Amino acid sequence: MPSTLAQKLVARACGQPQVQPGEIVTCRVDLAMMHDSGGPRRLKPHLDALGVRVWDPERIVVVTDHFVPAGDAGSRQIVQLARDWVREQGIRHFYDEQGICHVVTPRHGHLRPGLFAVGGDSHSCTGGAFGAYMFGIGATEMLGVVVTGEIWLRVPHTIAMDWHGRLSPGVCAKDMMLHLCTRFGMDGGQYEAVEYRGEAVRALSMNERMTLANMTAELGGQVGLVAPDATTAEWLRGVGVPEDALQGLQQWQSDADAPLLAHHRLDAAALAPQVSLPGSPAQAQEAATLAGERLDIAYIGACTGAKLDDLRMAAQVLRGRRVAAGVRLQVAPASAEDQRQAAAEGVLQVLQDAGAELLPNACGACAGYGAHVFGPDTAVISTTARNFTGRMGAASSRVLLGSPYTVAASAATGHITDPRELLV
Amino acid sequence: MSTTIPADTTDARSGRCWVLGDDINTDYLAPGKYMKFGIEDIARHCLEDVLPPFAAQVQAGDVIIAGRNFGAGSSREQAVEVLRHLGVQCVVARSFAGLFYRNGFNLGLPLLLGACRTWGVESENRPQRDQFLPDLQPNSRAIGQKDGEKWAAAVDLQPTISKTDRLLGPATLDAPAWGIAPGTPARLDLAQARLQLPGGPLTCQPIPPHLLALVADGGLVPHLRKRIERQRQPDTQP
Repeated sequence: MPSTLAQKLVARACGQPQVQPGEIVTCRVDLAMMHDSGGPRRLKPHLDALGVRVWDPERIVVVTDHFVPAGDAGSRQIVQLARDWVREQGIRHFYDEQGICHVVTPRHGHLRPGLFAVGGDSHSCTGGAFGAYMFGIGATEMLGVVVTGEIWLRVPHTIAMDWHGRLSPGVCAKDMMLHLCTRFGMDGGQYEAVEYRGEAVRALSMNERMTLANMTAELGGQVGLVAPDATTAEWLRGVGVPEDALQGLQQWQSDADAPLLAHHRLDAAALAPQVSLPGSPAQAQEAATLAGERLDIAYIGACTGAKLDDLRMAAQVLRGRRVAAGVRLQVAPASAEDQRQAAAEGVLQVLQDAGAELLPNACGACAGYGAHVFGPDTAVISTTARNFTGRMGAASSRVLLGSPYTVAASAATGHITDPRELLV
Repeated sequence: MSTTIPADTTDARSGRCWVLGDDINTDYLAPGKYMKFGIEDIARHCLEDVLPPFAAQVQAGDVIIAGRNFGAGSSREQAVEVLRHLGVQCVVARSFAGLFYRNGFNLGLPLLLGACRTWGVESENRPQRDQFLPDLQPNSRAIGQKDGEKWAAAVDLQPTISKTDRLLGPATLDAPAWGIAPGTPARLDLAQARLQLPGGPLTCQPIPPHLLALVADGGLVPHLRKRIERQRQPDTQP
């Protein structure tokens, strides 16, 4: 019986030869990732009360990214608890203030095709870019995982997003996702598996595929999968994944005749840079139609919008340019490693020469937990994933979403700008 | 957890309805700027950006009526915890974000789907208006004409997500889901997945048995405790 990639991944994890959509199964968890907010501080009291330890410290990755840098006593206490807890539990895979979990975890080789993984954060679906079945869960559910090593799952249907053609210059994965959210809604993914395919997806770098998978959270899917290929293998080799773990990648793809819940065909070449209006990523328009709207802050940050490739895109626009008077460009590289590579390539220098302020490698304003949030009535364009009212600061701040190209171009002009005007 | 729901799932309690629209996200329920505080502090700010009187005026036993995609956004389960803390006994929505749905049952908060699910309206399997009856209460088995068997399975077991709403139009404070007005008295019959209202019952999709068991135990933590105790005393169990 033909199966989708999602079915194959779930079948492996629950130890059955095949699974059918709708079936409830129990899966063994290969990897559990968590951060300082939803992780140790929420697990420890329950583990202590239950009198048990984590099921397998080698299968747990802990990253501090939400409350760092810790600017007050409450935040410091939360982060310190995480540091103490990993020691107490014997967890070696602990990345402290190294950047955002969804970027740090694959960068350290923890994700690979075929894995079944959970993360204590809604954007954990980023792992689908590597052909892993990875999805976000809450802290109590994570408690269940770290106690039992298992989780229940309803085998999902698959919705295929099939992008034919090629993206035009100045258009990228973020535009694809803002477009999909707008077309299908924030529940368009129906908590099913969304699989991104087609020529335009095959042509994307791993960082860009991560953006697709990541924003599956905004599209309402449980997982956002990209079938692994040579691009995947090459990237994983680069982060030290051993060769034997990269064998047999070709098994991790959907059979051609596997039934789909929906099969959407989309034209990559026709896609223009997108900008989402304040309130929801699912209200995007073409950047050109919003041209002229004034801005106070241009923000390049988050797992979805400040990886190495995102920084490269911004630099491509800003090379030899300055940020417009009255606009602040803030750049929070998604991880220390992305920042190091951007510095080595000269990308960081281009951004700083343009007038960018560098912020810490953390969730920052995207999570809205710390000091870097937006004040009342501030007009912002941001590469982040969500612009819900009040999320990134004052309820009266107006946060628009766009790609790194679009945010950089808008920073240079001081108003919403189609980046293709500056890329010619 | 600071509050508990009676373990007896046949228990019926009364309260009033609070009405919300579509896409009520986790940042509205548990705003990020208060996330470093305890649940009491977060709860004081619950829904302050969309329904300011809620946190101060909600009473134990009250019910939330919402449109589609309730709980969209983050994995933070404080979004569920604040509702438990404030005494909300259940949320009835046209659809829930999947992650929030799992969190709800893990913390013992029953979530009821009051609408049927249909094909995505823009998929190649585009539904026809006569393929479903949007406001007919959701015995979804009656709906999947094209692919009935698969459909029924999906509906009965799964948290999400109604696409009927796209054709129904958005739920808003002025046009609430199922026309339920704010303040309407309601009584939950969890075992029957039914909300008793003055104008007649709102019948919801049955809660899957493994999730009903979770609610009966009071959530995943007590459920785990039972499991661990069983493992520690294998001889005392049948």
